[in-house]
Amino acid sequence: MDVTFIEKSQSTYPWGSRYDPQRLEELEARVRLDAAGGLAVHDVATHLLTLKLYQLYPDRAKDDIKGIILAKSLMVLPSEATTCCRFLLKPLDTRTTEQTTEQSELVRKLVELADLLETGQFHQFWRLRSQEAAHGTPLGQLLDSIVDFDLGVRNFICSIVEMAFQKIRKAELAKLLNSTDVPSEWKVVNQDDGDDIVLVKPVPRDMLRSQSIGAERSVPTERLMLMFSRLARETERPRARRRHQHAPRKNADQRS
Amino acid sequence: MVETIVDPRKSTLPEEVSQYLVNFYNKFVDGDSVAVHGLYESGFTRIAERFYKSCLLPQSSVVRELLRDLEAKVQRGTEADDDDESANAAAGHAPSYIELFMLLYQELGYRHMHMRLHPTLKQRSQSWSNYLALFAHFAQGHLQECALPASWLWDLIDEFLYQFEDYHQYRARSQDGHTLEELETENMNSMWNVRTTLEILSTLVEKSGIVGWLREAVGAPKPDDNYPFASVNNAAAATATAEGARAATAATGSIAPAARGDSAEETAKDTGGGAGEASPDNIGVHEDDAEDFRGAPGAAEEDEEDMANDSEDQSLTDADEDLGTLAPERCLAADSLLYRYLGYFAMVGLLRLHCATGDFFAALSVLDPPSLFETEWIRSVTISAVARASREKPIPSAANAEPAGTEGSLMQSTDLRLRLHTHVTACHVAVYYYIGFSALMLRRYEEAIRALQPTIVHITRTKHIHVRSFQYEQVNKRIDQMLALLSLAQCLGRNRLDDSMNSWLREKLGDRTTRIRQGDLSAFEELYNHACPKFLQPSVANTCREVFLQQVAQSESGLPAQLSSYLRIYRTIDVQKLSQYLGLGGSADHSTEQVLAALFCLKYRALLRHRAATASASGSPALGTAMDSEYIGTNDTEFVIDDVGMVDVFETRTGKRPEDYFLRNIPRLGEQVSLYRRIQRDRLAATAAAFAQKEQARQQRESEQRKAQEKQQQQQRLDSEQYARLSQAPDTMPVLPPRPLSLAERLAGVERSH
Repeated sequence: MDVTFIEKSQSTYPWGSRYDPQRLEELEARVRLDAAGGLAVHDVATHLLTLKLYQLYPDRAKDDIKGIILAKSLMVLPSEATTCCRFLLKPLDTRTTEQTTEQSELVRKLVELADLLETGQFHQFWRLRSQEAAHGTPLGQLLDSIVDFDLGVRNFICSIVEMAFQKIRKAELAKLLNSTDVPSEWKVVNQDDGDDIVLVKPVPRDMLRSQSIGAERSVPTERLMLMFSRLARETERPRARRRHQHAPRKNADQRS
Repeated sequence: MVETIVDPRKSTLPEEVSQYLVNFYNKFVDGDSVAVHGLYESGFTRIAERFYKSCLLPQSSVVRELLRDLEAKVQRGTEADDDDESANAAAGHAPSYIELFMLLYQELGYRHMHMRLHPTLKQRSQSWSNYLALFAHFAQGHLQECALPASWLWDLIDEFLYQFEDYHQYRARSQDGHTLEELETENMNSMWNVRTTLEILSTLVEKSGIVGWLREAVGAPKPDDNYPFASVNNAAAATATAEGARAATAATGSIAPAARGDSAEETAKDTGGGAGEASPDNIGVHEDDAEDFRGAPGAAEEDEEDMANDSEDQSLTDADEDLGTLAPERCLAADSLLYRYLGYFAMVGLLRLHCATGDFFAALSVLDPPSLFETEWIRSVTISAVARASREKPIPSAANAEPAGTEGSLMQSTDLRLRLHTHVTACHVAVYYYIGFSALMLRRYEEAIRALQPTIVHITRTKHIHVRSFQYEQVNKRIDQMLALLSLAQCLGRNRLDDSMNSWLREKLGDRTTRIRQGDLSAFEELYNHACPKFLQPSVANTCREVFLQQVAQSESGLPAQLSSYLRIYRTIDVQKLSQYLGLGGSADHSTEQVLAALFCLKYRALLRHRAATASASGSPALGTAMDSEYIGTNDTEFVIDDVGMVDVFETRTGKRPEDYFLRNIPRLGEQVSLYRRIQRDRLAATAAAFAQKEQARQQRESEQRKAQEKQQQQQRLDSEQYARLSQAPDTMPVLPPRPLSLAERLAGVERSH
């Protein structure tokens, strides 16, 4: 990608090159870099732009790149990345009207995994995942190649578990997370019958009472001040009003 | 050239039309934008209605002849040199007035064609090239002093996108038709190309420098370092705009001192102007803000290296780009009102285009420069600036504050001149409609409500002002769609609107509002179909609809919905029992799993809502991970699962809020009372005034009477004196008989006797 090449392509195309299909190569390189980068590296903008270019130029779409992008978006749930990706998967083909452009197997399975995660069917998710890994399918290989994929998904599941549980049996937690590690903030209480209980990060006690929402809301001061000033005016008025009204009445008497 | 199919007046224009055109052209050249506005808005529609109701506008060659004659007569400088007009345009020189006017006239012609007739493929292609030529002129910065009113600019962009969508629908329709061969003969890939359209709009946005101008004008600090947008597009856009620079300066070395110098000057200008912050921010650059004028001088050196190598890989990771050569173009938005509008409207056009292709995230990110949500943005940014250490902490007050109330108070404080979209109603409506729709599709329900509600209220209140029938119906239709979107967002996001809004929604949308609350999927689909914009292609439309309905189904119907209804009833319940009630057969494990899954689904929804709330509060999009370990409170059913499988439900009763009711109604009552008092006072004053007037009249009459009496008495005295004098001097004068009484005296005598 040297200077002359870019210039040449731009001399024939007078507009910008933001959506230039030539950029696909380095965008894809970036995506692969992200795949190897783990949890910390996730350039959403690049990913979405890549998907968009795939939309515009569907014949240059690469399946594995799409797969990586989707998988990375799963790692960062509950961000919107997955939703955004879903919208961009279908190609914008201006030549054909066949709406039956199927997604590839890989992409379809990934979308399925995403659905499972979003509907909370974590057991199912891990089942599918290990199935893929065991059979060595392209999807399984892809997911293995993405660093920390499992970790990302586990983070998400942990956050849900945190909201849903206060105490959970270790066995169940292991099933949900598909691993025997327990997040460091959670305490493990050993019980005699071998079934450990994990204390999920406790929620402050006062939050757990039944609350009536309306009572807690505080009234903003400005509106109170308005109200009070008006009330003050109202209570003063009657005196002044009486005085004011007497004067014209006198004239009326005079007239008659 | 506009084709005339049937036009008896082929070579001669009717007198009125030619007069109108001449007038229009003169005003256009003179730069009289007010007159141009009037001529454009009312004059054009009038002429089109009267003369060209069902046929095309006069051929452009005829019009060109007319104008050339005019120019020759007036001899307006060297601009009438029209032999190499087109050559000039191609070479990028400033176009002559005739050239420009012809482009604009043709655009009007194509618009007329699309509105009244069915344009053929050839005409569409001509229209496309016309637009390309026009936008090329804009992009090269020639049109700074042009007298184009804002509404025309908006109509340009609006119509451009409309024809774009129309063309693609036409393609989709005629695929199965007979015109397939005709399609293949033309150069399909270039006409109404999605990519080119995107690029055009982006270029317009960049060239006008509208983003930088807005940022500076608002005085807001730039987005923070954790902003996850790398300037991928900056690199490409930078090369695009640097193309012109490179053409001018062959060596990249010359860019370096310019870059450094300019950026230093700019940072100095910024700090001098007190525009937010002077601290160099090397990382946080927005993707659409291609020219980041606040980059530190140090970064400029790096960028120059990047440009020299043109290794875009590097620039991808290094997120700051500063092209100091764009300093002259920066002034485009600052100085020229036209470019300001153009850039702004191009941003809105981008928003619409992204929506049409299904890229909602890009749509919303186009608007991140502080133009539209500047109230929320500034407020949240200043809050976060105050509490810099806890940047990640959600700000509950900002999230939970009444949207209408606080926004209203803040809206007045921002400069109206910045909210350029309010200058053209159609633009205003379109902007918030698309924002609302994109937010809805991305599940940012609070943001959607925040966008839709004030706009609906405002527009319906001021509807009577805009009675121009052309845009009136379109605005109405959009408002209807926005209402549907609002009800969807309210239901899905479990938000609560004002009661007045609720009742209005219910009356407009009928029972669909109640049905969606009950989870009726068909009602969702109806509302969605009513409210969705025109997509580019049926496939896109279907995808969006499917995804949306799937989202809805996930949370509204099926197990989670039933579950939430059970959770409302019970305080504690066993998971096993729940699975029993829900009628889940199968093994105990499996049903437990399903119940747990449904419970997790509910929690996920709550998490999403919380994410959206914190995201909108902190001003950055919701792309972070869910490592937030704070307690998440929602308006929904709260529950916690125990280790033995018991679900404990905490009900959240939303109590009545009397204080709100009182707060709302006391001022209202006060207003009524003061109104009443004012009326009464006015009436009293009126009667007093009438009384006083009558008094005055009476007194006047009395004084007049008195005066008349006095005059008579005086007259009598004079008479008697005279008579006495006369009687005292009898010798000198003969005794005159008494002077006969004059009429007045006789009358006075009569009156006196009465």
